[in-house]
Amino acid sequence: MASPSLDRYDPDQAPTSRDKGFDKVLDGIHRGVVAIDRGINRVIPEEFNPFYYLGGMTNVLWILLVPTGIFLWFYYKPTTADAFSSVNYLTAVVPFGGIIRGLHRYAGDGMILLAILHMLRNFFTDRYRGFRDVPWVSGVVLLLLTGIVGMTGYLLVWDQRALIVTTAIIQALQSLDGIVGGLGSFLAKALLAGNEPNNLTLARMFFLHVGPAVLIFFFLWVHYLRLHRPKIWPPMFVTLLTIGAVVLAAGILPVEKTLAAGVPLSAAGSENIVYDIFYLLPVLALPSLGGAGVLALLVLIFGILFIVPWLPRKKHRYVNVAFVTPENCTGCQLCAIDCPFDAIVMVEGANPNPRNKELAVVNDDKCAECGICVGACPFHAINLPLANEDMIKDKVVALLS
Amino acid sequence: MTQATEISTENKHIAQNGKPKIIGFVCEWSLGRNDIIHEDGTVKGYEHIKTIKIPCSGFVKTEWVTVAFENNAQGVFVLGCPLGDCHFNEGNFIINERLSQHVTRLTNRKTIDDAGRVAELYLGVTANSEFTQSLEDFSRYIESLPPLAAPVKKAKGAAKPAPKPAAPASAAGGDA
Repeated sequence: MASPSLDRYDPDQAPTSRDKGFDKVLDGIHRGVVAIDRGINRVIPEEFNPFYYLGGMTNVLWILLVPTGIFLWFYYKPTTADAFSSVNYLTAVVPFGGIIRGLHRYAGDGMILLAILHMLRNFFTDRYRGFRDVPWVSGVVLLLLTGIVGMTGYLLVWDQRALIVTTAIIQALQSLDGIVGGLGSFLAKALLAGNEPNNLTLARMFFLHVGPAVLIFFFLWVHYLRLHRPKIWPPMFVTLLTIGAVVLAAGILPVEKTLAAGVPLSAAGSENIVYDIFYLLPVLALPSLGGAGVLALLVLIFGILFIVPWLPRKKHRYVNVAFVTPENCTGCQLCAIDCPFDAIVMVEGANPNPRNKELAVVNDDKCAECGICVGACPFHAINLPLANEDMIKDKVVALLS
Repeated sequence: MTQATEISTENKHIAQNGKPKIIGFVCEWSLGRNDIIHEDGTVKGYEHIKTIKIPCSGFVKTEWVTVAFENNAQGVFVLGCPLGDCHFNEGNFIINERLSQHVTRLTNRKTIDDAGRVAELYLGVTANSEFTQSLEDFSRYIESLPPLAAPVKKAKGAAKPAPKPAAPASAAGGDA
């Protein structure tokens, strides 16, 4: 005989209820994602499953990109005349220059690939809405910044491909003229530092490569803000796997040779240009969609991504937020330490018992309603309203009688 | 909780299907919404195993494990998401730590005779076959052990009144 109060915490009210409409589709994909994990867990111990550390792996590659980028910057000359030859010099002459350029290339590719996988996985396992709205939105900003950094990175080489990509960006920007008169031309002029690519252009591109990259650090901080102990760094096995894969790619596939921007696009040249689909997909789509089409598509995709946490809104939020019984709280901090979402703050001087210094206070917006604090508290001071510890204890006794 | 404090008679630890009683705490994000567990908490095909659905495996108070053993349970298991994939990031690692400490405590106090009476399972939402397999193994292991000496329940046991929910306004509104 189950206690009637616990029956309020029934499966239909539980946050996992997904049996109709869009939620049912999501649930099916969730099961598929977990089935892949299950396959990997048969081979690799589950603590080291790379799929559990997609965000951490993205961060490993990001940390790998910074020193390799600084190395490249030592040799790079951001002028139209010298850029291409300096890149060639560091690739061919500088010791390990080619391999480090390869690392920078493939770490960048891997970063956006893993970031997208990380996003999809968190979407399909329902870890993007409710109390996770801040990580999601900052993650979309990070994706946008990564895309900008990656695309401008291809311009810095200043080869034929860079010229094509620049032309494409200018074309896309100029299509904005139709919406706000002169806006597109102004942006294009600001980007090129003139009407034509000139010596100042690459300095601006260089800033657009490094500036957003610095912003990534800021938004990573926002990304981790709601987590008490974010999994910033994966286990050693996963870290070495990630770095090893990039080193292997850089060793097997050296960065392709291109022709300088000054060389005219002959019939032989234009088909042989290699495009990186991870970053240059919008440029590839330009001929078929047109500048305005590509821009509209990007705005649409990122606009949807930004509001996704509120599209199928989490219905059961604030239903089961933990509450503290101040008379029982001793201010021992155990719940605050164990809370994975930093939702409990210890307030000094608020405890009704003057012998106890601090009182645990729950931040409703950060609370994930998981009850980890309930398991932490030895003093019966913190509880979930829909699954009170006495209800569970009664249920244990009832099930065993 | 309102049960009379008494020394249990010999068959209290045996369920109706003749097997030792086992109780499980099941995380609703791992297998909790699976049809393998009946509405009333019994596992399909294992009528002696009763489960309680919880929001996260980290929610389990180690005190409840003690309460279960004091009420003639012969085995207790906690089911969580795979380690590293907790829906709430850390719940399964946290319960892993807490249980390993608590089991040592229980064996030292002679509440249980064998540390294997407490099991931890970490399974994803689709791992039905692994779940039944683990339960089969666990159940067999418990059967191979001698019945747990019925503890003399102290009158105090679970007597401290836990606070009643102070009827938060949000709970009343969102539950309907």
